[in-house]
Formats: sequence, structure tokens, C-alpha cells
Amino acid sequence: MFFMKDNTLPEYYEFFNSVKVISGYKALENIPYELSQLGAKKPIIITDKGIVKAGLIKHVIKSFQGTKITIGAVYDDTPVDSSNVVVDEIAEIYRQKGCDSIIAVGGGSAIDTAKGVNIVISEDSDDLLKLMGNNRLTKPMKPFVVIPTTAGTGSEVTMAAVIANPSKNVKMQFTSALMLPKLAVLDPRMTLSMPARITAATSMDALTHAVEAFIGPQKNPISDAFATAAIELIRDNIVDAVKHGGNADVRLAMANAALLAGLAFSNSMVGIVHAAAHATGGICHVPHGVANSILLPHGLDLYIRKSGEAKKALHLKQNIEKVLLPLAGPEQYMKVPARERAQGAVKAIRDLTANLNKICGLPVRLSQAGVIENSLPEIAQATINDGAIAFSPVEVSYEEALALIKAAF
Amino acid sequence: MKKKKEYREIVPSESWFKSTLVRITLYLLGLGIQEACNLDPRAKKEMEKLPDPFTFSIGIHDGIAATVQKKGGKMKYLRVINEKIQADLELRFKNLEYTYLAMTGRMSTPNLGYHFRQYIKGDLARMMTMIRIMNIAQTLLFPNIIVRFYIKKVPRLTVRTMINRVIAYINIFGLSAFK
Ligand SMILES: [Fe+2]
Repeated sequence: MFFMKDNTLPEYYEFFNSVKVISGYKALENIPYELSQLGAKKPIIITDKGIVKAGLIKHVIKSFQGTKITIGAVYDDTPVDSSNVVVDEIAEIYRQKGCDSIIAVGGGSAIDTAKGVNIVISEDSDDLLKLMGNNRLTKPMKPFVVIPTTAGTGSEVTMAAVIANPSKNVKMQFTSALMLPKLAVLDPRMTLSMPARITAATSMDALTHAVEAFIGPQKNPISDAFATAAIELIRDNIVDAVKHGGNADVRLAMANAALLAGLAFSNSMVGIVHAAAHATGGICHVPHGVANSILLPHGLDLYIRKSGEAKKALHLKQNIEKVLLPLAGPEQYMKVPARERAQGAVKAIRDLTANLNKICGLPVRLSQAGVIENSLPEIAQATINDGAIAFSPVEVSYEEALALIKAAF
Repeated sequence: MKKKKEYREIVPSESWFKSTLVRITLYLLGLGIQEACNLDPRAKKEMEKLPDPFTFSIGIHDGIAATVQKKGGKMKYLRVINEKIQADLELRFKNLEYTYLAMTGRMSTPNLGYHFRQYIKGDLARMMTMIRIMNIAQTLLFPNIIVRFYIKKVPRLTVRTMINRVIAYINIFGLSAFK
């Protein structure tokens, strides 16, 4: 606008989230009641073999004891990368068994697969390709419950899903507010079994969500509140969660952090770090959390360097400075002189990833994560083509993206 | 209390000035996209990434829109907007007012996106391509001082851009005047 006030409140914003959250001791036992409130009598459970093997599904099944709700089927063959083939297969089972609702138990893949199944069932379509992209969905969805078993993606509160189509060699992205689950259940029992390194990587994904949401151009007072709460919880619990995975309190704190970060970034969106992480994941199969963990400090470095180019109203540099407060805590924040706080925030993240590297071997360079040098130009190109780049507060050229990837290599 | 018949329906009025201005700008933008893809090698390269055929439409939610179509390797502005054409990718402003403010440079296009005052229907990666083409189209059509409101980073004004700008003006205004 013409009369942009120099104010931290955006001139305009929207925030939306309609997911009911249940968190804590024996939270699973609430699912049958919640389903009955949604008019559901026969849910299908979508999960994977790892979850079943870890004994997590039995907690879910047990929570239905003595209720009137029948579990239509437990589909436990979800692969690591969700695909349209699996989605169609599950939709078939759903229809055959006469199910009326969906429960996803797992990490990003199981949740995204379940979202895909919900699309196919609700839109009554047999071709996901036709519904791909933003805002293509039109029909209300089936009651959908998500029980995350990793603390990172925040998928339990986001309105997006990525599903691969191997025969056409495309990754289909779906975004629609209709896809939001009705219910997210955080039960400390469900994240206890995550191995140290996956815990570290997924936690860093959550931290990246919160940090990018806090400095993105769509940030607003509501997303800020969620983002800073997430950063504080991660600061206080990430190392413990990696070191002492059996501690249920720490696990629940991290699950909450991931959910809060999800609430923040599904409204404020993510930027260059995620764009580069998507590219690195797509080309060199670096796990999403690992890529984010490596790229986050470099992405912030780029933002700081280019902060002069960002629109004044975005307060880019000041926002990075402000990240230091939840990231390092008030005492540390006060010790850092005001003009060094942006760099201080980057340093705090570098210190954290270096520490995680020592504890569980989480890579700090792309070269340690299986990226080969001659794929860097391709990664840079994919970075500037990624949808997340639209939410970068500064314009990023191919050359700048390449320099970023090289610095992280 | 009012009598029942006194409660009247309010049919929305037309805002002729705003909708005419939006119509003209959309028309120019549509032609600009076509010209950019013909004249500017960067835009051409971007266009080559799109599937063939491919239809893109930009306009108002439930209202007027400019539609361009890539067919046979060429980008063409569809002058007559055929209702039957289902665009593969759509960019829609949620209200005429937002469109008007955007087109008169009082609301920047990146901001419109950030503020959810517009929505995208279709593949986001393709939208990135179209945004880059539209950025080029806008530098082709409008003086830099206006372009500044539309895009995050204004490219340097080169002799090439100036020449292309003149050719585009001739093509758009010249051709449409004599056709
Ligand atoms: Fe992420």
C-alpha cells in the first residue's frame, strides 16, 4: 500500500486452522469418543510395517476396547514414499469394508497417503492427477484423525500432501484447506521408539518450519505465537529427546513443538531453506529433516546478506535477530549486542547442529549426506523452481541458489 | 418494525471505472505474455518448460479473466474468452477491488499472494514459471517505475529491453488498432 506503517503488525493477514488437538497421557483413548461425535462408526487405520513392528498399533487398537466402533481394516503396507498406487489400493479396501473415516498412524508418508485416500474417496475420483495442485478439491472430506509417530513434519495440522506418481515420474502436490484433519492426537507412547538420528533430523525439520515461518512474508501475530512457542520447546528438549529417547515428557514436548511449528508454517509458509531441501531430497534423496538441518544456517546467512533488498515492511533482518530470543533464551539474548543478534541466531543453530552431529552423527554438510558435487547445479535449478521460493522474503537467483548449495556442500 | 416487503434484495452494482480499467490491464497483460514469449529469450525458455497444450488464466474470482494458451510451441493470447476452456492453471484475485489495486500498482503482486488476496488453482511449480514470464511481460510493457510495485526485484534496464519494449508496443497497439 501507499501508506505502509513501520509497524510489526502486517497491514493484512489471514490465519486458518480447524484441527482439534488432543495431547497428553492416554490421549489415544479419546479417539473413539471423538469419532462418534463426528458420526463415524468404522475407521480404516493407515500405517506402515515399522509402526506395527514397534508395537504402536496395538495401543491404538486397544483404545477402542469396549466401544461401539469397529476398525474396518489396518492397512500396514504404506511404503516410505507415498504413491498413487498405494492410495488407490487403500481406497479400494476402504470401499470394500464399508469404512466411513480414516485414522493415519505414522510419519509423513502414512499421513500423506491417508490424505490422498481421503481425496480419492471424498472426490469420488479414480485419478489423483486431475486433482493435483492448489485448491482443486471441492467436496467435504471424511472424518480424518492423525496420530503422528515422528515429531517433525507437522502434517497433522497442515493442508498439504505430496504423493508420488512413479509411472509418470512426478511428485503430485495437493493443497486445500479441505484436507485438514479433524483431529490430531499427540500421545507420548507414540513417539518413544524413534531412533536418535531420526529424532534429531525430524526435530530440525520442525525447527526449520518455525524459523522460516517466523521470518516469512506471511508471518502474523498468530503464526508468530506458535512459531516462538515451538522454538522454545525445541531449544529446551531437542538434545534430551535425542539422548534420552525413552523419556515420555521430553517426547511429548517435541511432539507439541512439531505441531506448533506446523500450525505456524501452514499459515506463514516456508522459504529458501525448504526450497533447497526439497530440491536436495528430490535429486539426491537426502532425508528432508537432514537437508533442512544442514541448509538452515546457510539459508539464514543468505537472508542476512540480502536483507537490504527485502521490502522494508518485511523487517527481515530484525526478524532474524528476534529469532535469537526463543532460540537461545533471554539471558543469552541479552549478552549478544543488538547488531550481532542476526548472526548470533545463525551461530546458535550451527552450535546446535554441531552438537547433534557429535551425539548421533547428524550430517552438517551435504557432502556427508550423500550429495555428489556434480549434482549441485541441478539442485540449484530445482531450488529456484520449487514452490516454497515464492515465500522467500527476497528474490533468489540461480547463481545465489548455487552459492548457497555450494556453501552447504 | 419494518414490513416484510421492505426488506429488499441488493443486487451488486457494477463498478464501471474499475472493471474497465481491470479489463484493459488484463488485456495488456495477456498480450504482454504472448509478446514476451515471442521476443524475450528468457521468457521463451521459461515457456518451453510448460506442457503443450497448456492454458493459463488470470483474473477475478467468478469474473473476467485473460487467458493465454501455449499450443504448438507458441504462446497465444486468447482474445475471446471461451467459457468452455478449462484452464490448466488459474490465478484469481478474490475481489475486483484487489485486482484494481494491484493493476494500478497500489498493491504489489507478491503482497497479494502473501495476504491470501488471490488464490492459485493448479500446480504451484507451473505458477512459478508463469510468474517469471509475467514479470518479464511486465518489464516489457510498463516503465520501471511502475514495475517496481509488481515484482520483488526490478531487472536492470538494458538496450535490449528498450528495443523489445518498442516492438511489443508496436505489436500490441499497432496490430490491435489495425485488425
Ligand atoms: Fe519440512
